[in-house]
Amino acid sequence: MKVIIGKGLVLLLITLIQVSILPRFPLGNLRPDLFLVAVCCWGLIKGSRIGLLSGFAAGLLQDLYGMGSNIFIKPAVGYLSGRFEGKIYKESIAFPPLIIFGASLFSGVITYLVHEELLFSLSFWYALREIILPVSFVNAGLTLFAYPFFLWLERKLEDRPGGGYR
Amino acid sequence: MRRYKLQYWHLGVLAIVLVLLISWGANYLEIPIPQPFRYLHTITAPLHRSVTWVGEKAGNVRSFFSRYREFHEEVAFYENRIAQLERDLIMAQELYQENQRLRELLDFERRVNFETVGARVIGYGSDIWGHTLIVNRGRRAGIEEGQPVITGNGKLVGQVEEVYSNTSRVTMLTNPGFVVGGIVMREESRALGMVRGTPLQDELFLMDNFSWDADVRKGDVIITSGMSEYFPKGLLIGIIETLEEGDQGLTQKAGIRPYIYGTTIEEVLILSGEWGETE
Repeated sequence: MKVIIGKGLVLLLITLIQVSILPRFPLGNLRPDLFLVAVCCWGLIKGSRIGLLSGFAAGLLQDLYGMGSNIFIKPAVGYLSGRFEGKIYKESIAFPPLIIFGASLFSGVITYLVHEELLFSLSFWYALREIILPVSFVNAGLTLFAYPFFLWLERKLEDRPGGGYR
Repeated sequence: MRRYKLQYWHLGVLAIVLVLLISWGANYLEIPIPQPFRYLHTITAPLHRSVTWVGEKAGNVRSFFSRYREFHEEVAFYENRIAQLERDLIMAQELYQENQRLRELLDFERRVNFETVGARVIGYGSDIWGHTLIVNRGRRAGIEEGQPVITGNGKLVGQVEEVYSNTSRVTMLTNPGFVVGGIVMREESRALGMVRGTPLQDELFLMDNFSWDADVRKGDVIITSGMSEYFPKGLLIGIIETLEEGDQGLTQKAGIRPYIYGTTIEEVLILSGEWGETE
């Protein structure tokens, strides 16, 4: 229960930052996707099942303020990130940015493909060059700070200060 | 016979295909967010309002100290400007009354008949793509989907897309796929075209479908044409910055610098009522 409430509060905090704070300080045209970073981190730390469930919750929250395909895309991203759980060393900071870069590309390309207003108003290469790739780099960069935070938070929530999952 | 062995990458491919199909289907069928989940929007609205309020106050304090001298000059400038606008307002009221009398004489109906609801921006869209605003007025304030949204000085901001009990989501004209009919404000031109938004700040809006001989110049102001049922005539959109030929010289295309961009808007007006060419 503590873990669920903790994750819920983190998602609420992410919603506040993504919706009310980040837009006031954009990096040019870019805004990182904090929901995606969080879902991927949870997937990497806790596995596919938690990735899928947290992806569903994050996608639902994001769609209340967004374009309406995140509820399907975020669970998939969480699930696929969770497939890497156990394959990478949890303390390593080298792989999570790479995985989140890939997840951001996947999420960006699918969002582009399923929204006809994007499909018909922006060319694919333009969208890839100007939005999807730069946001993927920003998300990957953010992971350097976000991943250790989520790792620390998970340990706090599970009362396992020494680590040691599974 | 060889037995099929399921591998992880098969699951991955299957997941991608499923996500694509489900997303396409949901988007195509325009499946709405279920009502219980919509309450989340209402529950989180006060939080967004508080965070926005704190952000604004912090920004105000910072800019007060960093721009103290500028403020003095600005106050003097705006005092002059207010005096000038008050004179203009009196003249405009005279002209309005004269216009009403003449329209009655010619048996024209009133051109515009709408009401406005003021709203504060409490948040922005959560996507990396779209430009949407969250405002603190919803169904209880009489807001309906499709209503146009403007700034206090008549610049088009966008259109209400989704209405909740106490909040609404507004699609901005900078959203990809946002299209509105525009007209050149200059009296000698009145050329019509379609204005299309772009999400990138340094990119110009595209206004196309001008005829090849349309009288269009750089610096012309573009306003809404009022030809659709969604937007009244005369809302400011932007200024023509570039002009080029389209369709092998059969049409002209203009690059429009919009008046409104992104996240600098704090208050908006939502219009309701009837409009259009009624005479």
